[in-house]
Formats: sequence, C-alpha cells, structure tokens
Amino acid sequence: MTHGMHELFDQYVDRLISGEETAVCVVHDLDLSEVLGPLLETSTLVVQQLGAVEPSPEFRQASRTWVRSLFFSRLARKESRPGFLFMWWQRRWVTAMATVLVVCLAGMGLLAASVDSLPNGFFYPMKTATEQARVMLAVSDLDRAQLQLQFAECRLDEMTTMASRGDSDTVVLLAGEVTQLVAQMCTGALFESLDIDSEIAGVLAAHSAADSEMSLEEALSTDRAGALQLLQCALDSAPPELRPTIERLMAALSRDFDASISLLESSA
Amino acid sequence: MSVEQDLVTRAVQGDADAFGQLYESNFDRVYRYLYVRLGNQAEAEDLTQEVFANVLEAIGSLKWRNVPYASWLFRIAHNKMIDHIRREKRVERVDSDETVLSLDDPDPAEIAEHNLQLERVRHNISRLSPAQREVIWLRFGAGLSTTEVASALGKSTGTVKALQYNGIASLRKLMEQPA
Repeated sequence: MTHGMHELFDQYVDRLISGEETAVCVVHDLDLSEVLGPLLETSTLVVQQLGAVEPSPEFRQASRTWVRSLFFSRLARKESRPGFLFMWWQRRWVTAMATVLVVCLAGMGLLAASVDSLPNGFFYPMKTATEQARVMLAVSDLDRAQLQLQFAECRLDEMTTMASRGDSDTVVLLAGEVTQLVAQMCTGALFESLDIDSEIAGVLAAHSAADSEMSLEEALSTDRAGALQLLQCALDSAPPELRPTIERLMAALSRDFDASISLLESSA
Repeated sequence: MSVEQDLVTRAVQGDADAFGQLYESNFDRVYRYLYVRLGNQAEAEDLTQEVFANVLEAIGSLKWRNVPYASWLFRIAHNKMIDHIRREKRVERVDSDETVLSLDDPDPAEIAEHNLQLERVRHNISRLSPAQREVIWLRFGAGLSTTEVASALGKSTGTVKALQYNGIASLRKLMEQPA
C-alpha cells in the first residue's frame, strides 16, 4: 500500500513538474485525495517557487557565447594533435626509450642512488622518470595499478619529509602528485567498467582550484578528500589482489596528510 | 538508439550541434539547482559556468552506459557545489540574495512576496534529512525524473520515491509551523 502510494504520488509529481494543475490530478483519485491532496498542495507550492528561478537573460547569453568559444577552442586543440599512426609510432618509441633508460640507469648504479632522493635532490628527476618508465612497461593492468599506488605512497612519504623541513610549496605539489596518480589509476583499463568520470573531473577541478584560492590546510584537505573519494570508488570494484594496496594507501593518506599539516603548522 | 544516446554519442565525438542541444536543455536547470542550493546569484552563475567547463573537459571520455546524461551532469554539479561549500567553509545559505524570477508581472510587491515565499520554502527544505532534501532539490529544483535522480544519487527508484513522499510530508508539517 505504502509502495503504491509512493508510486502514485510520484506520477502526480511528474505531472506537476510538467505543468499540470494539482486539482486536475487529484480529481481522478477521489478516494486518495484526502491523503495525497495536502501533499500535492505542498508539492505545487515547491514547484511554483523553485521553478520560478531562472538565470538572467544577460548571464544566459554571456554563458552561451563563452561555452561555445570554449567548445571550439578545445575542438581546435584536439584536431591539431598528431594522428593515430604518429601516436602509435611515438608510443613505441617512448616505450623503447624508457626501456633503454631503465637498463642504462640500472647498469650505472644511478637507479639505486635515486631511489631515496627527495624532490629537491639531484637524482629526483631520474627517480620520477624511472617510475614513469616502470608504469609504462608494466606487463599487466594489475601491475600498472599496483605501481601507481606504490608511487603515490612514495609521494606521501616525501610529502611528510618535506613538511618536516617546512617546505610548504613542495608539500602542495606532492599532494597534487598523489591525486594525479590516483586519478591515473582510476582511468586505467582495470577500472574501465567503473563509472567515475564525473568524480575524477570534480576532483581534478578541485585540485586545480586549490592552488590559488585556498589556505595551505584547505588545499591539502581538498587533495586528501579527492584522493580518498576516488580510492573509495576504486576499492569497491578493484580485483581482490589490489584491495590491500588500496586500503594501505587510504590509511597512509589520512595519516600522512594529518602529519604534514601539523608539521607545517608547527614550523610556521 | 534513443535520441539522448544519439546526442551524447555525437557530442562525445565533437559534434557542436549535439553538444549545443545538451547544453541548452540543461543550462537552466543546472543554474536553478545551484541557485536554490546556494541562495546566491553570483555564486550560482560562477558554478554553472564551472560545471559546463568540467563537462567540456570530461565529455570526451564519457561512455554511454544507458545512464541518463542528466545523472552524469548533475553529479558533476553536485560535486562542484560540495567542493564550493567546503572551500567557502560554510553551510548552505538559508537566506538568499535578490532573486531573478520569471514572473510575468514585474510588480515589485509581487516579486518581494515571491522572494519571501521562496525563502520560506528553501529554509524548510534545508531542515529536511540530507537524503530527503537532496531528492527534493534534484526533483523539484532541477526537474529531474525519478530515474535520473536515482542514477545521480546511486539509489534505487523505489528509495527515491519513498524519500520524495516522506520529504514532502515532512516539508508540509514544517510549512504549517508559524514562520
């Protein structure tokens, strides 16, 4: 009965939203009008009040022009990108170069030297280049996701270390790196069935807005919330082998962001 | 292939007409949703533009999964608004600024009366449970269908219908109380 009432009420709300009058709706169901009538009265009021809100004509026009120009500028940028064959060739070339880089660096012992380097260190660019090469050369989608999570955890460690040195600028950059790595993992083939395009767009938008408009603590909290939100989505559909790594990173995220914020506050 | 699926597929491929149609059919309701949630015209305008900038950014990777386009769009709008509230470190505003209303009669007294009534409705909706008010904002504010609301919130249509019914029942009681 309750379910039927919800269903019937929903049908009336549909009609109200589409502009039909309440009285017309209720008259068809006289027995129910005693129950539904008052609710439809309230619904009519809500539809009338909220439905009357409209953007100003100036804003509507300005926004239309702005979105149109944004659309065409993005389209132009997309069309100016190299074609598929070039990209295919480039991808093979990059993969080959990455392999050579890893092999050469490993042979020279520089790879080991770069492992513990920090963002302000001489070997740090080598470390991140090697990480990118390892992600690219991963043999399976699962391995690739594992590596991205592992490198995100490395960024967290580095972030805490830099926070202990009072380097807030680098801390913010590293927090952004963590978010980027998590977003990259979520857009990987392993999570193709996961419908979180809008979450990723929202998280990355919040991150890009964070730098200019927020205090340090707010910016870090935004990155933490965004990364945790994406990881929570990924956790639900991740293969069982990947779940412990995701859970470990989620725990590390909460811990290391808190630690970094308090370290920076104490050094300020 | 449904009309909407066709539009979305074409928009994803960069068809300006298709994107334009999706934009035009959703622009007002995104603005209305953000306005009734935030109660501030300038903020609603800024966020509406940010939502569509995000849509443009993300639409290239959108895959059609038989989920209404509006659900995807309003999840972006919802996330934007939550980020904004968090960034501004404030709760949703109960009092709104001067409203732009689509009244045929531009009588100032009528507009003032309308604004007062809108304030009361917004204020009382904000006193509902979070789940109830989210359904009411999306259903009555944005004019989404039950299926679209359910998909946007990740709930079943049955749950959305129950939340809508109970939400309006609670709202009626709140509206009956003296202002």
